[in-house]
Amino acid sequence: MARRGLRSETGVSLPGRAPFARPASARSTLCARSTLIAFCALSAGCFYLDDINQRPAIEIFRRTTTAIERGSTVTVSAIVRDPDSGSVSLSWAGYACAATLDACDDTPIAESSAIDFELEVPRRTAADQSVQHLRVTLVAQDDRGAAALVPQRLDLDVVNAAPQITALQTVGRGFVVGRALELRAQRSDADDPLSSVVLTWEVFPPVGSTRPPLRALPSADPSVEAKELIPDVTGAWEIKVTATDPSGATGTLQRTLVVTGDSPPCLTSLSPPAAAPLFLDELRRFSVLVVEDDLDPYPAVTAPSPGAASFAWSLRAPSRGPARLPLTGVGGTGVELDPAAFSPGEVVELRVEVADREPRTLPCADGDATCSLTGNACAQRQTWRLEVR
Amino acid sequence: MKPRSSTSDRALVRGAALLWSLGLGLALAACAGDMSDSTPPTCAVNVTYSPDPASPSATQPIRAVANVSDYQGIARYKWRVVRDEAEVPFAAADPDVSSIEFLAATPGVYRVELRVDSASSCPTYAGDVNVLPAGAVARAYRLRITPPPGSASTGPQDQRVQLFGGVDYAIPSRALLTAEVRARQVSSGGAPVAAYLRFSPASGEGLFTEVSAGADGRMDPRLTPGDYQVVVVPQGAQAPYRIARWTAAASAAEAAIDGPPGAVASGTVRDPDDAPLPGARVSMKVDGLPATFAVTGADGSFTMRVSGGSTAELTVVPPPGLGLPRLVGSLPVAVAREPLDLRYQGFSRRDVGGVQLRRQGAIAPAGRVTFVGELPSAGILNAGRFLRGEVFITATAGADGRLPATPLPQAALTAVLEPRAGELAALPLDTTAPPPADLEAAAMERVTGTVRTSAAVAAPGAVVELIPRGALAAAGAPATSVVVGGGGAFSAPVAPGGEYRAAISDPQRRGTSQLVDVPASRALGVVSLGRGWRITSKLTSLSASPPRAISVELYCVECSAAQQQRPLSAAVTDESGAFSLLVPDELP
Repeated sequence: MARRGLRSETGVSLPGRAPFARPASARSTLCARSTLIAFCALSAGCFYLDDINQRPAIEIFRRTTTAIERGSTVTVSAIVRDPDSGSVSLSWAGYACAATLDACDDTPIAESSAIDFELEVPRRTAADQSVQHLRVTLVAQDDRGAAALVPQRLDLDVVNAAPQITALQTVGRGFVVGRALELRAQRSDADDPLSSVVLTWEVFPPVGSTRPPLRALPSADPSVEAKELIPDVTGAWEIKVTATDPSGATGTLQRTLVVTGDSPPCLTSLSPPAAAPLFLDELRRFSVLVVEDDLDPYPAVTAPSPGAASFAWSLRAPSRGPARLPLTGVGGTGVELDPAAFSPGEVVELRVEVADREPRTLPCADGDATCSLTGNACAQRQTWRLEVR
Repeated sequence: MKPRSSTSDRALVRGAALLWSLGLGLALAACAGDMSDSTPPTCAVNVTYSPDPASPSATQPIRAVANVSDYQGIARYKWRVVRDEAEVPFAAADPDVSSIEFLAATPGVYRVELRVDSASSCPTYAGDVNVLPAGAVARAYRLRITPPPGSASTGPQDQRVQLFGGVDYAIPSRALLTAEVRARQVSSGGAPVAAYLRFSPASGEGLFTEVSAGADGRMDPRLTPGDYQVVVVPQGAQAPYRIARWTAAASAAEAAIDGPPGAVASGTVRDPDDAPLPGARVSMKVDGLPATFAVTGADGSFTMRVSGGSTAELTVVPPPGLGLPRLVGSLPVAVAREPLDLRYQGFSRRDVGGVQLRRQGAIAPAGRVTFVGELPSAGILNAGRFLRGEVFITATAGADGRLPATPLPQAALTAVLEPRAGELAALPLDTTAPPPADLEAAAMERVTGTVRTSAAVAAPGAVVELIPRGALAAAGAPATSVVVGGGGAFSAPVAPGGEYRAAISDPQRRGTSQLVDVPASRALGVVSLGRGWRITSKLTSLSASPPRAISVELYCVECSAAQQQRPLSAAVTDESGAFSLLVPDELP
């Protein structure tokens, strides 16, 4: 071991500051003192002192105390003290370990020579086991080859992050008995692959339900699992989704869906609009363009049509008598009228009424041009008033 | 355009983190003001394609380039390409995956989705690339978009689109226009009138929008700005008029619509015995304008106002019970302004009163009969112009099934019987000969057939609409419809002796509509829905309310005038404003 002159003080490392690069001013001061001592000793002729190199001392310092999860990043730092204030080189290594610290990988997951050592916690060990511990080792050596007496080692526990259901959403408007609704549960897991997180669906229907099964739907998003539910009774339906990761940790999300009954259909749009009196001076088609309904819309928004609205057409024309005549057999969405079948100046009323699968009776008098079961803009009856020319 | 480089941003973030870890909070505080600048802006994501549209190719890829702006941090690009719900493989064309390339060997719509992960909130992009088959021909169509009443948008809007045949096609999103033109006033001869107005695009293409004005002439046309042809039909004595070009501009808040009250036309109507005919309705349509009409007085005289023009179509509808046909003829408007002397002549009448109406051998009490037919000449105008006769005479049988006194012109007519509601039969009736003892309505016949999809499988749920033609149509018989049952078979009642055309459509869009004549045998056999192509698009709206529940109809342009009025396909927008229509491979 090389010997150097007597030192009167030792180097001090401050946390967070690299001590192994000795400042130039300190180095020159030390040199001057050593020279002075040597000069005095030689001139006195009474003693001789050689400079003895000492081992550096190291510690591993973990900056944060938060739990370490797979997939997260851990940073540790070295505290180095070199009695000789020499330059110290560091050698970090990090190892992934399974259930016990005896089951660490042979190959480090990260290595570094910096003062700070940052390593990403892997999810699986080299043996494809879940990472449950980390081992960090640090070896230090000064610029004269003296190594720290005891290599530092820090063992860290890796906790399992529980999976989460981040969203439980429904697709579409409202929840109606008999109409399929799409449920979409989105899962996340900080440290396990999504494919290993299993979702469990539980449905708690209101009393009277036959407990309709959930049907799996395809999902392009791997984080999302989609199910189809067709509620069979009205009331509050509780949907609970539980995510379970390979370690058995769970996360749940629950949602209440209030399912209502089938509302009456609405004649939303007609061609031509029936609001104003019109003229019939040529062959014209009067048609229903849009029916909004929970189960029987027209036209179907998505094919195939989930149901079928039905239409009842009737006509009242003075030339054909005072009564309103049902257009029997006309069940489609439109009727063509030819003015030649009527007299000029005659006012003809063409009426359409819509029904869905639920039998209902309109509460309005025959003379009412429009009728609504719900008393709002949702009308089940509309009447065109046409003056023939 | 390439996204902004994020390398320096990343270095800055790391640097800041390192400084923080070293406890140099002051240094961090100095730069924190730049980094945590309130809420990250919402970034914009778009994608450009080359080529677009493309031709199918197994070697020449389509390149999609992300254009992302106003984002912070590191942008990571996550692409997805789908055709017919199947994933299409792609390769990164740039190291940062800001552009990709994919092969489109099959024609169709390739949907490209791009998610940009960054510190900013970036919307997910979804767009389409149309890959057209070789030789695809563009054809013009018209979209009619009809918002529900009461919405912030205008009334029906027509938009012309170019579609390529032979392949599914995505068209750019359509902007839904909001109403710009509101309250107006309409008048006739300067005086406000209650009126019916019809606004048609001045280009001559597209459907019209109808509006009614109240007694004060006020109306709410809800039109988009543009040039329109306006037809005004005042209620009352004034003549209808037409404005060839009227500009609807949002700035002209109270521009009035006014026209002349028309010139006076008058005359008399006399019956075959040369007696004045009271109670006849006389109407006149000039150059297609809706008719003005008048009712003859006790002396057979009438007075009305007619607008200017070249040709007038005159119709006289006699009062019921006289056995007279309607008189129909054309005359120059100049003639119409002279005193008109209209006389029934040139035919005899025969009473069919007492004829018993029967239904499959049994009497049909309260049954109804409509007699229809044509007479080449049934009247004369001003002693020199012959008028055609159109027979449209109805009678209702008594409790014994016998018709009351019902005189008819002597001609080859057709009796359309309705022995009970919904049952029809068409019988030839020659009234030049003595009437038969009874008119027998045979049992309804049944049209049968099988409907298959364009893929040649049964199409339950398809709709068969039976449209009357000939005498049935003249008698005002409505079209009836039936839904195809399981196995694709259908059976629908039709009137014996009646002519029909069958329109077969499928609400489930498994093929396009077909129009076929119903043969006398009533057996249609197998009818396959036409091959069709799906077009997809989306409506966008400037208003806050989403463009949902809006009707979208597709009309042909390069087809007959009659077909231009009948939609080829219909759909309604979903919650996002998207819609899908089926375009027939061949135009009707």
